[in-house]
Amino acid sequence: MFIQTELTPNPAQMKFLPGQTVLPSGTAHFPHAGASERSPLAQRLFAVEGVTGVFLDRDSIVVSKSDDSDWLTLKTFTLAAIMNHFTAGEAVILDDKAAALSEEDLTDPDADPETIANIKDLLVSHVAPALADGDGEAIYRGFKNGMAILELLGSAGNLRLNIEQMLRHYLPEIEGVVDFADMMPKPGLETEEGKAIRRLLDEHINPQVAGHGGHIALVDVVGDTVYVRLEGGCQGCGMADVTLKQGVANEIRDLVPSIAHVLDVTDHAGGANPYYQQGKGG
Amino acid sequence: MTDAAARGRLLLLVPATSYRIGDFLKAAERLDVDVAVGSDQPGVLEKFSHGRTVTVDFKTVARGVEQIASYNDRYPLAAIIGIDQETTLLAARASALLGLRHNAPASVEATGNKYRFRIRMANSGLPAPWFTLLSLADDPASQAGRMPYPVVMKPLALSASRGVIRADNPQQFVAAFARIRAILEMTDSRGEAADHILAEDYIPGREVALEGLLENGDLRVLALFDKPDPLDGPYFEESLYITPSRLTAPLQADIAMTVGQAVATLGLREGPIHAELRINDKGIWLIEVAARSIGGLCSRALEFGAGERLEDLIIRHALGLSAGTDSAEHPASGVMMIPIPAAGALRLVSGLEAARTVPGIQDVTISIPLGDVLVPVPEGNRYLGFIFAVGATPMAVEVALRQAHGKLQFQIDAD
Repeated sequence: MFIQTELTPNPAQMKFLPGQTVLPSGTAHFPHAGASERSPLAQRLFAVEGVTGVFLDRDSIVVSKSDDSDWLTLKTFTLAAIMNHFTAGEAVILDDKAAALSEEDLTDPDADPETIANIKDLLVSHVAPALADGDGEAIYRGFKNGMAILELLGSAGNLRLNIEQMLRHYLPEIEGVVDFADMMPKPGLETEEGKAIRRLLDEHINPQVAGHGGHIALVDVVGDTVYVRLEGGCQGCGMADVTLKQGVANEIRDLVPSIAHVLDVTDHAGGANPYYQQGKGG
Repeated sequence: MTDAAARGRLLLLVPATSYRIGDFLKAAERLDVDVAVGSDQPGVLEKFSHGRTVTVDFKTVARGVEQIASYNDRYPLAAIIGIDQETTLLAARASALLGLRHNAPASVEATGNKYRFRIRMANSGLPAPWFTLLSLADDPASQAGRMPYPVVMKPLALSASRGVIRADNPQQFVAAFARIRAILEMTDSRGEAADHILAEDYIPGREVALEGLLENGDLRVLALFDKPDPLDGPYFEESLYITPSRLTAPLQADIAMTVGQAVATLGLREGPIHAELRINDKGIWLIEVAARSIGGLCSRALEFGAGERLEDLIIRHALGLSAGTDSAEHPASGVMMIPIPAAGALRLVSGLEAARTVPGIQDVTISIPLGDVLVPVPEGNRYLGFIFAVGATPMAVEVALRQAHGKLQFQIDAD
């Protein structure tokens, strides 16, 4: 097996072409390890230290690296991971339960068909053109409890809040957008460690954070890493890093000593109402 | 645990609204330093922080010093860093009291007040503009006739061009006076800075910014940034910073020497400094020198060998750790502080992905949430966002930043 590599305009990303089909159709974006449950290939790549993101399409695998790693080392391990994956004959994407969920499963029985039709129209008329210059796609999956469930592929993953705001602007009955990826099964949350961390957040941390209109959601627990998302007043807050590193991470590590990393997967630029808004201080 | 951590905690003094706390915390983590954050607002999880967050009064410096001394009794400190302009004086005074590495508080105070700075520099032998202090109680119409136009009018203690206005004639002077008075009424400026305005000669020429680190009075130049966009006024919104400078080597050496002479005159001896200068056929003119590092997220444009950032170098220096490298990681790099195109509510930002894929672009970040009201300079005090680029040459970086900016579209509702 010969794997070609290509530099990309972004120096933190490199494209790997294994010379065979990666995904038969569509694309898949895994912005962090916690989102990679349904892809054994992405999971294998995230096991390489320094890999921070994986994007898959028909022919290629685009790997993102952390600031403090370099391709000189990382490329070798990435090539080995891809080689091992394909020679082992493993699936790139699993046919998991979430993927099998139909639109009907993800839609309230009494949902207004006109609202659903309007969401789909807006995705075509407003979202698709905005994503045309990137490699993203937003696919309608359902409408439940006032939330539009969208599969956000590629660059659309970074635009969830923009899409949400646009939909809410035109359709006030929509309360928000849920990323379909969040509906994937996450075994890490069902472990003793995952449950203990959730209790810590629900019973101790979040009642405090609520005082600033914030909330900290547990996204996943994978190995020695906890993934959290800062929401509400915490999203985009000038003190978000302090809350996370000086408060949440300390408590989680005290409770579960096997946890080495607590990573923030929040799109802070999308924060609509940060408690402390950043301004020119210096 | 490192030697530094064994000696005590590092206290970062940072306003709750600062852009910079995340980058400093990441650097502390990289260096395995035990760090605490002192802020003017209580952390939401202060009770869970094991003393690693502490509320400090930034407005009353004497009280803030007492709070830090009390904190030091419980958690001995190895160093204190005032990250933003607002906290540099408090850091210097508290460090002096606790015997930690610091600048003389009087020197730091002079850098935080544009009028005091001009007085200190007036007899330094360096080129200095004409300047005068105006009281808000003065009648601007009567003062207008005394000005040697064009002049630049500035609040004494606001940062990042806020309230800085050029006036070319008496009518513009009177209008600018009223506008700056209104800006000062919106801020929590204190003392002399609350009710005075500095007026000084407008200095034409190219503008540069020097980022440096002082160690026992010796200046290490970490970066010299060109600012290729003209800053002629009437307002002075920052945009492009690109390093290394394309000025000639002798001129760059003269700039470094000028800054070295300025910090010596001011009495600054330790820690980061950020200097802004203008260059014209009459010489090299200091606009300001601050006893802190570059503001906003601009430090992300600088990467040194072995993945070190500016914040790593500052923390290393404060703790007396062995110096990291000051060799730039990339041949050239730069940042664009995205200009605010119009006042109004920010509704939509498009073209982000296209901007990120421009060759050389490292990141594009929008720092004002959708729905928020954009306020341009001179009243505004927030950046719309930042674009970062690296390249083989400064010109390549400039081209990348302009191309990426050209791909962004902002939908702003004026009402």
